[in-house]
Amino acid sequence: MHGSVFPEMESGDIIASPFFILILLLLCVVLAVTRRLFPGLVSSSLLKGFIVASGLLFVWEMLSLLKLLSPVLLPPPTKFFSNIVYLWSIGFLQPQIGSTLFRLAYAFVLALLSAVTLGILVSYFSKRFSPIESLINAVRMIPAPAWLSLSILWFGIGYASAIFIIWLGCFFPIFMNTVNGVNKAEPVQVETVLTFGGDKFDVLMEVILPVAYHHILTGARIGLGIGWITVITAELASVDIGAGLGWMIQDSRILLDTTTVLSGIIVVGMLGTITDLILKKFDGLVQGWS
Amino acid sequence: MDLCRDGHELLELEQTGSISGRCTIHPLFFIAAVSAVLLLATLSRYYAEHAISGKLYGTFVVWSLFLLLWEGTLYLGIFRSMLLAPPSVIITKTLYLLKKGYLQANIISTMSRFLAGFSLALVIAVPVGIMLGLFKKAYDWLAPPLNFMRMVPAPAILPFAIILLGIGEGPAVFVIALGSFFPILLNTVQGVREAEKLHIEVIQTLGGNSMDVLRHVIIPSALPTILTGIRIGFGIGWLVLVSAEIVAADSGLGFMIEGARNRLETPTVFVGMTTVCALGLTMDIFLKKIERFFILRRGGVFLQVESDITKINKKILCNEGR
Repeated sequence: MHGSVFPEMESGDIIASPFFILILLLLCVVLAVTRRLFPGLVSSSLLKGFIVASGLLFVWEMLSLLKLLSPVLLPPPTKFFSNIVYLWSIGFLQPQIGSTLFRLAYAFVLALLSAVTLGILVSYFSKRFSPIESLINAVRMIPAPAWLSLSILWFGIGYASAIFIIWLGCFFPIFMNTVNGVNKAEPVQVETVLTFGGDKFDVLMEVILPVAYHHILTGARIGLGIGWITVITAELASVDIGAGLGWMIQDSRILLDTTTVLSGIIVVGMLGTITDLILKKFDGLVQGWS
Repeated sequence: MDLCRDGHELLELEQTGSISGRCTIHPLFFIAAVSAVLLLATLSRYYAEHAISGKLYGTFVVWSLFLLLWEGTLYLGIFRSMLLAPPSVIITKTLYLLKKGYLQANIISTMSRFLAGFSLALVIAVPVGIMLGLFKKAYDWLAPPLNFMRMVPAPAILPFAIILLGIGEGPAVFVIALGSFFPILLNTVQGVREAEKLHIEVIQTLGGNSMDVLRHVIIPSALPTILTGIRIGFGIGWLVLVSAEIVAADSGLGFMIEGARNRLETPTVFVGMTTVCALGLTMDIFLKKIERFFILRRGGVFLQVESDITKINKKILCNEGR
């Protein structure tokens, strides 16, 4: 099922241009008023960003209305925003978002678990493992998309090969940061725990993990960024046909449905921003000793 | 560059058997050679400790064991070797592809594409970043949309770029430039903003104009941060390059890997991956050298740029708290 198989339904009619411009203006005013009344609720960067974004969309819309932009190559914002609403309403967008997020979340959680565990183990045996660093560095320099072909050979076409390369993409930033974070633990603190009768597990829980937490989280955010690049690449290369935002974008490109291509890009950007904000919220949840 | 565009000629050669029988490396020979190197390293470590440092020796041991394990398990048939290629076969294949000129053609195509995209990003991001860093008000307004665009993964733009620019080199170069653009831009802004107020005021007090401030304070003090941004941008650009070549290109290493996968030529897939790894490693080391050179030349203390991942991570996520 694809949006373009219903050409008789004109998706551009859902939101008309004057209406769209009015909504943008109204939202700007509402945000500005909210900021004036409750300054804590709306940050100034959100307001400013929203105003700039609305300005850009307004200019784009105006240029399209004046027929200065080709509607096939650069459809106006009303077109692709109403297309998002349309694709959602026919139930086409949700499974795409679902399968992309499922792949990413699966691989990301796997990467988080494996990278943190391995990172703690490697830094525990730090002295003995340091020569392995050169090996890890060499493997790390192979970009995750380069593994795509090999993973298709190994796991076949489907979820498994996509998840493998996304896992690889997320793994190394988290791993390197975990090793770095664990090494940041102060020997004095470790010895304090040992002096007070704690065992190695206590050291791990009380000193090492709280110190490493911030670093692991930083690694997770970088890993997630790379994970997004990788999941979209896997879907563009049709690792699993018929599902995912990347596949939707690529398929619409082949059908020259630029509107859906742009809708897909906007949705990916919004999801990426939201996932990054969620991880950012975790920061400061755990405080290490300082 | 017919060979570069299409690998079928190679396939025919292989089927007629003109590749095998000539300059192949026997697995046992490979195992013996690696063992000999390992033995030599161990002996020299044991008898002449100053000849080889402990770290180098450790690296030797790890790599040799890795290669021996890889070659040995495949030779003994522990894994299915159809989907894996032993190092000896990879070396043979590399030599063969080099002799045919296929590998060189793809390397040149990949590198020219990458350098075009990366230098485009560099040429735009650094001046724009300096401008945005100088005009704080403008950056405050532009930062949120820029951050949104940063969160859109570059390969997602690829299909759109293909529609806009047509099939060919254009979309790939554009996407590579986009991938490396944001790390360079955001780091440049960060670096310019971190310039010492006091130094700027000194220049102004001594009668310098804003050009002098830019030349003598802002650019020198921002340079390390900019260079870190360039290295991060290189990493992302390299990632996006391979992804763009796998999805939409008719030459290059990514294309070679994907084409070989389609023809089930596992050794060629490995050759491609090894080449990508080697090129990436070389350029990363080169950029690190440049970074170190400029920081040392400034007379500053070299702040463990390559070992301290925390600092680099801060630069990757340098929009923090804006």
